[in-house]
Amino acid sequence: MSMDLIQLFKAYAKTGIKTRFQYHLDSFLLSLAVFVREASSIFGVYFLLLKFDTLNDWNIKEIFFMFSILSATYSLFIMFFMVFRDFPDWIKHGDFDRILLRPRGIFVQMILNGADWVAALSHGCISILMFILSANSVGIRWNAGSIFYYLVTMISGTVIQGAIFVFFSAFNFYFSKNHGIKEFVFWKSRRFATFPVSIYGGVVQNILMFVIPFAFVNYFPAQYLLRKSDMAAYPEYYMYLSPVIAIVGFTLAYVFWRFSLRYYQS
Amino acid sequence: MKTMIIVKNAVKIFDNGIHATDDVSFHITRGEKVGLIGVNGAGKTTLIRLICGLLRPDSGYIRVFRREPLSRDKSIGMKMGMVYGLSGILAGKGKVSFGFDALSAFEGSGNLDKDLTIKNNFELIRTIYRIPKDLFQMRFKELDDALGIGEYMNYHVGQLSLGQKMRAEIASVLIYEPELLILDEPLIGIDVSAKESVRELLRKKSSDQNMTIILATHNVEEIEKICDRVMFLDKGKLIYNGSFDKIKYSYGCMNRISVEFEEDVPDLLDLPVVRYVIQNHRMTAWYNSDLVSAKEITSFIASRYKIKDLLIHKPTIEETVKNMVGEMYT
Repeated sequence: MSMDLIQLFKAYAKTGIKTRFQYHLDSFLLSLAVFVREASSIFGVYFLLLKFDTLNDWNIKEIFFMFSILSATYSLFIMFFMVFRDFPDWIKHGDFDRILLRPRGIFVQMILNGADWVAALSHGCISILMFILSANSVGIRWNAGSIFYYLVTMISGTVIQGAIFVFFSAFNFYFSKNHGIKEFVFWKSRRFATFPVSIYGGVVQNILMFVIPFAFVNYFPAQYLLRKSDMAAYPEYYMYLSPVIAIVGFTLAYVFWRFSLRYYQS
Repeated sequence: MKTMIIVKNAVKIFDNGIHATDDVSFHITRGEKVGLIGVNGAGKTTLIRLICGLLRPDSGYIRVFRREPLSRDKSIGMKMGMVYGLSGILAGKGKVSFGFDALSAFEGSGNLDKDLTIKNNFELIRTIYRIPKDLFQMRFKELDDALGIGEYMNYHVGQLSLGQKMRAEIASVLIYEPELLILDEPLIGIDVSAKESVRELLRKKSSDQNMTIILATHNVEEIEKICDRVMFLDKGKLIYNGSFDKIKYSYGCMNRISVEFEEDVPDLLDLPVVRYVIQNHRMTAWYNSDLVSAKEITSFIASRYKIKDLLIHKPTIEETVKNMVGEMYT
């Protein structure tokens, strides 16, 4: 069975890469646009920090490092969960019907079926750039332990964002119209996650920790590696909570999605 | 005989109150070739979607391979193949407008992913349906010979013409040799000569493998060449379910001739027709084309009166079935 899954993965990977890169100029321009958009928000952060020097004890390099986690996990997220991001279109164009009729796991097919390589590439580039600019000058001792923690952070962050989209896409089984709530919630939260969570008021903080848990995508993992003074406001164990939130959140989202699928009609 | 599909008292009412499927019941056994006919909006596509598990019936009992289609059991997917053309998609999406919208909706749907090349699509299908490589190549060659898809292998599905796409769609299903093949207007956009080879291929494949076929179409010719049973849907109701020959030979030969004369015609009592109606200088007559030819009738009339205009009408399958059903009820 697992051998079989690997075969399937290989077949999808082959077609996925080939196709989304087929239209060279289009892909290139789109990548560039995403890159510029992301870079401009980084410049925003940069100019802000020129004025204040630090935000709750975080200097520019440290915020860059935190941002690199956000971009890297988003890049991975877009490789695996793109179909959930674009789910209303998938239903509208009948692509979901095709998946339903095929004799393989629906969820597996969806994860394998789409990857927005253009976005993955541009966010990936940003994250690598931010990582190079910051990783060696923010006082992290890169050893087996911290590298392992970093890898777990990557996976948890990807899965947490996946869970958010899986959860929201389940609503498309009940309502055919896409009301854009998903995008609004996700992008707003993601924008907030550019800065340390501690700078926000209680409501936003709570949302980012317990509703749309972006704080566990980049803020608390970065805290583990950087140990900034504002961590004193939170329980110590929050720094180890990301994998738990990823597993629990994704399981709940998945169960809700499978349950909602029963209400789907093409 | 092994029953493959059971539909019992299936009802599907859409949100707008239309009874798309209205208390429909039938069985299909293994190896049968069933034609599904009816005008647009008769409920053909809805019925197909109920069988595939893409729609949930409001009431009734449906089993395919002894399983409920909505269970999304993977074993059903392995044994079932579906090809749907333009009208199927329009009906399925409840669209009425024919235009850019309809066409763009069509672009995305089907068994093939429009963003992939034909080659990649087939590669994916080979993996999904677990077809060994050598067997795949053998089957592909056969399909290519009949459908001529080999030359588009490196094209994206979105770049193909409708006819090319439909041929590729048909091949993409036949390549895994499903036990049950469902075709919803599959020959749309395919040119006449290619149509013949598609029909030939379907006939051959289905008889070689005892494949069960459901073919929804409004084109009688297609049904005649492939199917041995016909189900006729009208406003969601199944109004005829039986052999195609019965329709054709008992009811299909009733032609109509309309004649306009230059002067008023008193009577034509000894005309060799089933019945006729005369009004001033117009006459309409129904005759059995097995017993008498149009030539005989016209020469009979022309020998007595001056004909100004003449029209012979052969009934469509819809009219034939409606005549027949009308006769059954009255």
